Amino acid sequence: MVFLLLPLFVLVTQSIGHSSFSEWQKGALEPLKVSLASSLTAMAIMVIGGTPLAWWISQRRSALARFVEYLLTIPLLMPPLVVGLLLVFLYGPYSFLGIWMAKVGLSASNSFFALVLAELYEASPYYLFAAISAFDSVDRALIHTSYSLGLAPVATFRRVTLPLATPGLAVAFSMAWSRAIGAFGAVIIIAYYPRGLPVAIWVALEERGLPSALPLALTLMLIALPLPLLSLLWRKNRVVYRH
Amino acid sequence: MLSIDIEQPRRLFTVNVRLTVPDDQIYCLFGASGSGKSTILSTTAGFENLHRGRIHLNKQALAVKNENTHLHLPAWKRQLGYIAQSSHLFPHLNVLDNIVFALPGRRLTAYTEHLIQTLDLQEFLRAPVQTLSGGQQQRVALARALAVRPQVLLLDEPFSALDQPARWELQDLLQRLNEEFQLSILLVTHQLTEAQRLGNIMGILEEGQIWQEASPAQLFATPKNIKVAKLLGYQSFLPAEYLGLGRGCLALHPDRVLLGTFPHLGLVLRAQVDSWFLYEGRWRINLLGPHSVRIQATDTQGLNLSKGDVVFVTLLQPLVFPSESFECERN
Repeated sequence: MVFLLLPLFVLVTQSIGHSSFSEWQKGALEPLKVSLASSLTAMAIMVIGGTPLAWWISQRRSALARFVEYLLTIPLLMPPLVVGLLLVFLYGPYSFLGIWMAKVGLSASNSFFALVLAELYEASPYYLFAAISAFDSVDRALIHTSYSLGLAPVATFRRVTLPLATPGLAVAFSMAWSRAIGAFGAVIIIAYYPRGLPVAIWVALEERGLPSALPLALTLMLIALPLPLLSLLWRKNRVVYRH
Repeated sequence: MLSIDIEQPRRLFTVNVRLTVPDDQIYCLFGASGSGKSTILSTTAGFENLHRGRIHLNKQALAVKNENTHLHLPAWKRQLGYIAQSSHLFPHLNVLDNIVFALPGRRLTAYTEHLIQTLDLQEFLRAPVQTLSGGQQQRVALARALAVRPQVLLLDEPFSALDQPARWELQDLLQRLNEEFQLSILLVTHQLTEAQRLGNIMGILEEGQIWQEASPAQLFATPKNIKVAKLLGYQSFLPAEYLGLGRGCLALHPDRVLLGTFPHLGLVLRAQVDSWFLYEGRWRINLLGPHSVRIQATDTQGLNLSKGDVVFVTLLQPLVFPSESFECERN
């Protein structure tokens, strides 16, 4: 445990020792705003689009659903840098999609949209797999029971599946949140600007050295970590009553 | 009235049954684990698609599948209550919320309150379902299923996970509910005593087929073959020729023989005590009869027997299966 937590301890002590609030305000505020805005947007898209998809896959009623689940492991396992390169090919200004998007005023290169896109690609497989597992954990017998009591599938989803899957979905959300806000590999290739926290840390490290990067790193940790930790704690408390 | 006439292929055999649950009656489907009981129930409830056949509730078709018709009424439209071995209470709701789960506005009605009283659940209404015992959980499941007034209640081994006192109490309760609320029930069980106690009609299911169907008393008195007799608790099978009765097989139930140290009048066998065991409070004696045929008999008189003692077994109402002498040898 000491081995795992020691870097965090060093980060806190070094950051506090080497910077003042005004310095932090100067360097970190803007990237923080960018990261929060882009990650929240990516998460909203992920939850709206990913939750029904995860539910559909968890039913595994068709061969297509099982195939899609299998395919999803590819973006999960793909190195983020490779994802970034492929996004350039797919959405870059000279690609088919890039040209089409330019017509509607969107650019997937060095734009807020590109940043959201890169974060989505890096984080959504994590959300999807955790959400599939959350839906999987709901006992099908409870769903059958609800049907036998006369509740149609939509009502059953709302009153049985969703409440029981919520702790798992919260974990899925948190995991994806920490992946999205910390996304770097794909982001640095497709969305160097507007500069979010991970890229700002990299630039600070390159241009001004380690002491300047540490306060930014601490900021990123403070935003990325609490939600997953809280959701894990909440899930633990919620699940205890089932046994 | 629920009528089921279905063909459902399974990995090892095809479930092929035709049965009718009359109004206000309990139909008990009795069979060993893996005989296809749960398949029949889950197909009837609408959780599985019907492969071939038809299921009707009164005059309404719930499922029909043949060359010309393919009808599958979804489970939530069938008006069939369903309770399985595990109560499957919703873990995120307390007892009351489970009971009123499917009621309009989730509000208690006079009928539901009456149900709660009948099932003696008043004390637990605000309790989380995880804090209840197995028997209490099944009572909540019964209240929840009955609250929506199903036309037929499907019970899939609902008491088999309970201890003996809880099982006894719930069987008693189910009988009372059946009488008080005029319930039609299709109950599947692998417990003979449960089927005999609760069923108005009892169907013997084996490898997906109903071998025999009658009232429990009638079934017990006249099983149609040795296999059914065995399922009904007949333990000893003697070739009839050993008693000079010609060809055939005699089936003996341990409770339908009289054990004594001197011969009674009637059909009597001489046998030697081999071993014994306690069964439901009474001694069952394993005996070696003529030609070393094994006979099991209940000692109703407390004879205090020892190994090797010679006793006389009087056969009370033995069953004779004239054409099954070969089967008899094998038993």
